[in-house]
Amino acid sequence: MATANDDEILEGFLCPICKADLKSASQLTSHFESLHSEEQDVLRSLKEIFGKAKKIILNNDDSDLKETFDRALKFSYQEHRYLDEEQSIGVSRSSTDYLKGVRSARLERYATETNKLLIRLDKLVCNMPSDPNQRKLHEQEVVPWLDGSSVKLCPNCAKTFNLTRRKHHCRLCGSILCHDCSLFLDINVARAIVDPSVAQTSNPPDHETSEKNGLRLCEHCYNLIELRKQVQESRNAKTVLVTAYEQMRSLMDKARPDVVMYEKMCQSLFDGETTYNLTDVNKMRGRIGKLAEGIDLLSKQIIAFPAEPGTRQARLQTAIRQAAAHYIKEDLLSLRKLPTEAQIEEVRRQRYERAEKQIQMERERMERQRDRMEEMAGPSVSRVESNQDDDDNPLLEQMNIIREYIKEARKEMKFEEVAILETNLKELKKEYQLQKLCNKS
Amino acid sequence: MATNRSGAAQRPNGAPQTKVCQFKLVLLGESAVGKSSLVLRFVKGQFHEYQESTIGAAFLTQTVCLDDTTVKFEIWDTAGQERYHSLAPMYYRGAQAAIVVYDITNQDTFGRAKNWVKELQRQASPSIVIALAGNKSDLAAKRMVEFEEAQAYADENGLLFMETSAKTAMNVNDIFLAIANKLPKSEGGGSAGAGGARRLGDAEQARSSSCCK
Repeated sequence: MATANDDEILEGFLCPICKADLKSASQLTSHFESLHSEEQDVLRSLKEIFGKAKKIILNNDDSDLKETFDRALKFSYQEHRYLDEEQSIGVSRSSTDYLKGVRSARLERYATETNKLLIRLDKLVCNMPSDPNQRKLHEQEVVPWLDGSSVKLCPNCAKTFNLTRRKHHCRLCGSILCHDCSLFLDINVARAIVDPSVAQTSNPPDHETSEKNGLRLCEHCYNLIELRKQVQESRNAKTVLVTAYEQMRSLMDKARPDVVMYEKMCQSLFDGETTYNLTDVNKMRGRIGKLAEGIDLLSKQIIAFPAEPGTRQARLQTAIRQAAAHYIKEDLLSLRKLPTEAQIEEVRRQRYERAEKQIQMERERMERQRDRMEEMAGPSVSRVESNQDDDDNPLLEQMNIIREYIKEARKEMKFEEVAILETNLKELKKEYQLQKLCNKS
Repeated sequence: MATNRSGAAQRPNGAPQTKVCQFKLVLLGESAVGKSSLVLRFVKGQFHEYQESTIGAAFLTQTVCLDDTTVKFEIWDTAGQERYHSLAPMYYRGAQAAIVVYDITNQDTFGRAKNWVKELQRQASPSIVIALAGNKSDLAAKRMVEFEEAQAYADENGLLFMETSAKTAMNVNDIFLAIANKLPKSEGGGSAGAGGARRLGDAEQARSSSCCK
């Protein structure tokens, strides 16, 4: 308690009226009561001030804790009393309020402290200068560092500081610690904590870079920040439900092109084309069936998740299941029925006959043309049958190559490639036929 | 043949967010300039010092992702040997892109590449994207074809041009990406080359009339 004189500051147990130093509280009180008794209200206020000071001095964390213990003791004592009595069946007592009371007090303490640290962290991280000296100044500006001149031991591990064990400061609370007791928070991680919208780089930073570039923290601050990070992560983490749903969607995405391909293959079979055979299309059908099974299973899992009936979640789960069932029924199981082997044979035979007829007609026309030509030019034209060595024909060689490719593509169920290759094979055959015709004529 | 092209982009549900375009690409060039090596590097990331010579034409597929489209290359790697020359037209017909390859350490192969370009300009689809690749750029010490010479020729003929090395992978992905970027990716753009008007030689006209598809 200091009273300002004209130019210097006096300290001690000063009488508020005569400003004499009375050395002790009791002396001051007796002096005041005997000499200045007429000013009783001043005395009362003085007493109040002492009382408050006493309260402030004693009301540290321990008292808080003590209070908690007191209440806990009282509680256990009460419980004992209950046990001593003959307890009637069916009587129960809720301890929730008690728990909430204890817990909220503690939580609040953590929350306020964490918030304080977060605010500091935000200030530290934003506009952090890259130059080490500038950075140090910036850090000290945000959090005042403790003066370490009188600290001889690391407060955490109690080892003496010396040339090799230097004093360091926690960047969040400014306290002193040695290097071994320091923990490092990567600057990018810190940024993500302060601003969750900043996408955190997925790969965790290795220890080396953290130490060079990270924030030095004491264990206490680090744990609080880490806890906060975990809460943040768990809040953003996907639930099992979402994961199942995403899996289901990916299966649906896989099924879609397969269904299109199946339709195409099926149509090709009905048209009597030889691009695909029945086993190909059956395999494709089997694959789609498997996907449908997978989707069905996942959607059943989704609806089986426990949810209060009538809530939005329950409704959502039902809707997902219904949509999946609908999709399976409408898109995956309503696939066109495959033709039987006999049907395919029939279609192919018809097609072949048509082609044969056409070829026959072409041939006849050619014959007639040639006859006319021969009539005009006389019989002197001798047909040169250039019997090319067929084994050496690059076209035939290529056809064999393509056939091999088709076999491979079939095995790997790459039906799009099969179609491309079959088309090419047809082109090659046509080319070969043309070549033979050219040679003949 | 045209049915397969860019079919994925026309899916009725329209579910995929990115367009999928399919393009037919053919590799041409003198034998032993490194056509198969380029493709192998692009598709499988491999390189064999002693690559066997190709018989006929090899078929490979590779998908590259651009910003908003997925480009699926249907690659036909033709044999460079003269006896397979007759096969080449089948593969460059209806192709949307071609890479003409020469060997920078061999002047003759550059001359042959020029002939291929000429043939493509005459016979292939007019909208075909042609890229010229000067391969074996890792052997620059033995260079016989100057970069500037090839660049000037490419500029003159409106070709994409890069010097590549299948061995060191230099510019290999780049040249395929450059082609993918240059190809038209509008709906049905993939089939424009095959379906659009084509300059046809007399011999071809006879052929195409007998075509049923």
